[in-house]
Amino acid sequence: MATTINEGTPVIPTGRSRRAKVADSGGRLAALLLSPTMLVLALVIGYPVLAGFRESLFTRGEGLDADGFVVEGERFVGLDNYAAIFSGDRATAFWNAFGNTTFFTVTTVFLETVIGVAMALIMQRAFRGRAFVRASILVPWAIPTAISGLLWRWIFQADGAANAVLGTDILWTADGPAAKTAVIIAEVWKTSPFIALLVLAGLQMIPREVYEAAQVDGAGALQRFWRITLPLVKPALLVAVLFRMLDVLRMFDLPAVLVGVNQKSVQTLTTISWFEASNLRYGSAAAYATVLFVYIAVISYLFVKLLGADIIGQAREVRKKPATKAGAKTVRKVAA
Amino acid sequence: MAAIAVRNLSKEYAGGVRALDGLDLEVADGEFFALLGPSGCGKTTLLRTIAGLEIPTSGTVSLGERDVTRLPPGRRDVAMVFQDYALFPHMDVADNIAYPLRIQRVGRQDRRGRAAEVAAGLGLRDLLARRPAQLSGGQQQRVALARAIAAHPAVFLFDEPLSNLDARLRLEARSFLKRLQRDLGVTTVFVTHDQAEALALADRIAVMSAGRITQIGTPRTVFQRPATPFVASFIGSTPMNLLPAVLSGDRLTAAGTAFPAPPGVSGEAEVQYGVRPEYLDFSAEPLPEAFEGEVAVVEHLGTSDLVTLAVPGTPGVRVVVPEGVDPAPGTRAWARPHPARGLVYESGTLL
Ligand SMILES: Nc1ncnc2c1ncn2[C@@H]1O[C@H](COP(=O)(O)OP(=O)(O)OP(=O)(O)O)[C@@H](O)[C@H]1O
Ligand SMILES: [Mg+2]
Repeated sequence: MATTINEGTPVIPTGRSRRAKVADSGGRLAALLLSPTMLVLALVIGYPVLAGFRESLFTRGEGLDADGFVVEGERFVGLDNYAAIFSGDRATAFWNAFGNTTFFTVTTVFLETVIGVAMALIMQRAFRGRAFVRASILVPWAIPTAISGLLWRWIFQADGAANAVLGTDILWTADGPAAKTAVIIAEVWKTSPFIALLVLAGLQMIPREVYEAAQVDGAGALQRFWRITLPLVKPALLVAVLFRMLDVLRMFDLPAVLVGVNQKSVQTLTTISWFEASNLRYGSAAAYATVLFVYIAVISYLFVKLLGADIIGQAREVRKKPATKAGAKTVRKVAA
Repeated sequence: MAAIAVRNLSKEYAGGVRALDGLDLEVADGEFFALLGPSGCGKTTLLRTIAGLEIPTSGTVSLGERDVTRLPPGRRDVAMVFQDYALFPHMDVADNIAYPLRIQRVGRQDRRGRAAEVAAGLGLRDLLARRPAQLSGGQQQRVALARAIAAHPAVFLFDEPLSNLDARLRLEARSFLKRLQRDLGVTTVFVTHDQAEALALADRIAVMSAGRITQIGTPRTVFQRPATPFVASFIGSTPMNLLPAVLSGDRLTAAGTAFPAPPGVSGEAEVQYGVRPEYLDFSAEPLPEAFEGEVAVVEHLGTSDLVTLAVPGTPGVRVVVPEGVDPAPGTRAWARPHPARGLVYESGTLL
């Protein structure tokens, strides 16, 4: 996920407008030196985004033209693909996927944050075997998602560990609310360590004396947590949560492997887009991807704007970029 | 308010460092008590143990009537200024100062008012809305001090609270502290490296070395009659001269010069003779019963000069010379000790 952020740091449009602003020769030299990077970025990010958007304005396959002739190949349809998504024949499927995506984002990010922070607090403690605990907490994060999807499918199968432990016979991996739960559990299990790791890094930046000062002043453990720890790890936590939100909004592999694509209860915007694409409805797939792109951009923009006063500190202008980046990657991933 | 009693206190850190070594200390109720000692002698550890931030390996700490050895820091009613301030980076100055009041559930209006009041006393009035990162070291230090003062505790523990202030601010903060402490009558222990500060502020001072207290007394006693050569060399703005000497009868011989021993000192022994640079008379002409040597170093102290004479058989004899004399390096000079001001140590104890 970290790569998402790295690869996009100078995004093309902003770069260009800034270049125009910088009149002095130092700025021009900087622009010149950066231009190879810009070019590569334009090719690998700018082009796919635009190509994806263009694709969403076309439809492919056989159709009847105005005179009743059968035509093959691409046909420009304007915003028809979008109209179909929002209110046409695809609307139910779309709003279901949109709802699922949002639901997964809210629930998993919330649970991961709570669990991740708790894990970080534990990892930070000095106790025997701490190194072991730290390492083992990170194991879920290290397993490829598709593999952990298989792992959880095995746990959640009808006669699997989950049912055995709970003494139930729920069909976790069939369609339905249980499938949602299974996806959430697997996702939270897998990615809480990520939040824990970033928060731990934040925790370790807090000088011990700050806690001690609060302790001498009479602050209890809870007061110290709410008034000292949380505000001080907030920057790290916000970055972690932002990354996680961008990730979950693009969630694909886990529901796909654990339950399957085109399953109503776990259909997300990426799986639906993938499903469309694999049925050769590229225009509609691209439209889904573009909608997701915009959705992610808006959410991360709002997130950074509303909460992120300290996320990037002084680098104010750089702020809007994570949004564009993540979105770009999604489209690329789906278009690929 | 509360008296502090520390009994047989030892603290051994995890690495086996014995930072406190069977230390006993009594600080009276309302007393202003200074701790002096070289770096690493355990001053911070002592304060932290009194505050409850360190659990002693053995020994007890009492505040007032209570044995608080096992009590958590928040329940001891002490306030501490940390050596590196420990301000809350995410709160502005006003909130930092008011934090203890917030914990004590004082209302917001009241809190702000009291914080502003204390801040004004320490010259922080214009900084209330700033974050610690936007303050200079000295300003941060004063915020830390203000936070402790605003807490209204029974005991103040100050770890070098004025170390980062410039000379003028330090003087102001010093008188502010002195006045405040007298008004509030809060028992105060403060660590300092600045003897002038200790001498000016404290009712009593203790000199520590290697986890123990070497001498406790009023600033005057400790300054005039340091109990050991270590204290003698540590206290005073200009280090005391300590010369190997021989005592025979009531006369001393050091560096080939014989002179009368201080009143009441007599015997036959190898001793250490100590005399402060302020208590030597300097002369460019020969003097009787004086050390003779070549002027090696001249350091300007402002209203006087500190002159080091290279006297054979000694590490050098330092003399304070009034301004206007201006001895030239390389010339010969004489320094005669005031007989009544000398100190004689036999195997480390004052005679
Ligand atoms: N947390 C710790 N773990 C191990 N050893 C420590 C710890 N804190 C302090 N020490 C050691 O204990 C001794 C006393 O330290 P302390 O901080 O009390 O000294 P100090 O008198 O305050 O010195 P300074 O004037 O430099 O602040 C030192 O030798 C120090 O290295
Ligand atoms: Mg210290």
